[in-house]
Amino acid sequence: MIEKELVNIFDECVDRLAAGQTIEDCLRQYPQHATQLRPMLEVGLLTRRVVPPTAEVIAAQDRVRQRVETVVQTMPPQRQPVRLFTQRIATLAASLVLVFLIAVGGGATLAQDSLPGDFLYGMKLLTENVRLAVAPDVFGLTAEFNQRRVDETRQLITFKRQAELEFEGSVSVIDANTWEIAGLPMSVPAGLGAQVQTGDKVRVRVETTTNGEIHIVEIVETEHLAPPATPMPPPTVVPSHTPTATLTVTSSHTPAPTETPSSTPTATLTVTSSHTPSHTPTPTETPSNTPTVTATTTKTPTSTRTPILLVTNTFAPSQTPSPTPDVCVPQRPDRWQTYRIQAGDTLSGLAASRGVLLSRVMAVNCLVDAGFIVVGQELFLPIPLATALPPSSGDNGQPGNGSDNSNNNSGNGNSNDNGNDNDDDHKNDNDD
Amino acid sequence: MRIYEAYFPPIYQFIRLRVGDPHAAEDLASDVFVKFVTALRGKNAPDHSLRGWLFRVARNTIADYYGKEKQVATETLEEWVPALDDDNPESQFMRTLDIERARQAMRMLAAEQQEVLILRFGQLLSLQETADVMNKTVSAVKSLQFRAVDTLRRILGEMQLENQHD
Repeated sequence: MIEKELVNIFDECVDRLAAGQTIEDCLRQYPQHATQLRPMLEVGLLTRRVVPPTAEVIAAQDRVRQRVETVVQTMPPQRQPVRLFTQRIATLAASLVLVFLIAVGGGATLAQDSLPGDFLYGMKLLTENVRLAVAPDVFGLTAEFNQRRVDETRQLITFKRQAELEFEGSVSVIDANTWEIAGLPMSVPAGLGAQVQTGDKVRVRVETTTNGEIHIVEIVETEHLAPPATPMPPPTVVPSHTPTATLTVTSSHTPAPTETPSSTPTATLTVTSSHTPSHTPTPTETPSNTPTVTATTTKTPTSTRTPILLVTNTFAPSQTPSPTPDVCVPQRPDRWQTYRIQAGDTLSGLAASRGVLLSRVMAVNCLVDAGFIVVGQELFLPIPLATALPPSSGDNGQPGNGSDNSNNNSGNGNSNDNGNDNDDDHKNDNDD
Repeated sequence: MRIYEAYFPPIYQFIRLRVGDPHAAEDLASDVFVKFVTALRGKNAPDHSLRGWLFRVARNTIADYYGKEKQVATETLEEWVPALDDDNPESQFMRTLDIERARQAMRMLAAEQQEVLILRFGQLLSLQETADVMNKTVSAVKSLQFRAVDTLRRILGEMQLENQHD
């Protein structure tokens, strides 16, 4: 048992050394074991010195980074935005991916090319927050990130994708209900921004539509800047910069407060008409379906949302629609409503918040994979437990992306039966 | 903040001390981080201790490597420049010798003993972390580290004797 005691004391000393104490510090506590312990602790400390040369480590670090980066780039793209592993690790994993991708550079590039709704977009925002948190030049960065939002908006309307985001810029044109902010034309709902004048600097929350238009949802902040319309002089606007972090969070994560009662209530409800109508939901990966993409085997054309390959690939509707027999057709149960998937949603979370079994949600919506939902996808869900009955505007829409006009929910209550045209359409969301 | 920057050096050091060949060590380190990226995309992403996870993967990767290679990795001859914490030039040479000798001696230990030394002394992992990485109980790690250091001390003593005879 002496041995056992020594083993424990030795371990304690190892911890003390790790904490920065000296060998003597520990031996003073146990003078009776000093003769045995001293040489052992010295040997232990000696092993700490056995490390490869720093230069070798650094060189290896750079080379391995490149290798990993290459691997990351050749990985098949994550097919959809909101796939979030298991809930338990979702947040951690996402932030790890993020930070790792920042580190690996290449991944950060992928994320940087992403748009709202893409899987990597959350990372892009997180990356920015991390950078803002550590940046010496917060103003410069804020301006840079703001410019990104503007660029993203431009891309979103080019691709006719629906998303919501926030940025600031000078109002260069005010012409009835059309403004130009940061060089982008956008419509302003009546009653908004009456006091805004040309030359003012505003922060706006906008929505891009599948028609390629931009609507202002909210004017978050206005700053009257009479003097020459310098487009965004960042350092002068100290107060307005603090909320930037919040901004990013908002646009990606808010569990969607129902939109402000704008006069354009409906545009959000449907997903692109640019969408390829349908194809077999069988998960076979046919390389022939990816015309422009390199080696990766993707099932890209199944949905417009292929984050990483977006630029090369989004508009490749080359497929011939092949109606498939025997498909599961989502039917809206009584008192259920249509819900549009937001970034950050998980199916299990949604089911829980509505007090319904996940399996029921999946069955009703013809889903096969609980992890597989897409931002913007529409599902039938019961009314949330907390909320009262008033049906939301999307009450009667069809789930899936098959609805092919953007105003089909205007009926808003009953009798809006447009279900026939998309029997095979909404399968697109759910296949895998 | 940067996971890769923060964790590459310890993981590489760990692998490099177990695998003599720097090229092989680099390959293995690369495998570890590819596994990491892959895991993040899959369902088995690390969920609590990332450091422990990485060391564990590194350890398994090394085991696979030795399983595959069978033969002992080729030792490189280049001198290791030890990390010195003081600038006393007189002792530097002696220390370099000592450390080089310690490295050789360590490589004579059983794999687990080498691992426990690297993790506990080199990487300053706690007892619990080390136990998790090595898939052992805390008390098993305690006696393992004790025996490892004791054995190493003996080997070093013998090397010393040999040198004096030369």
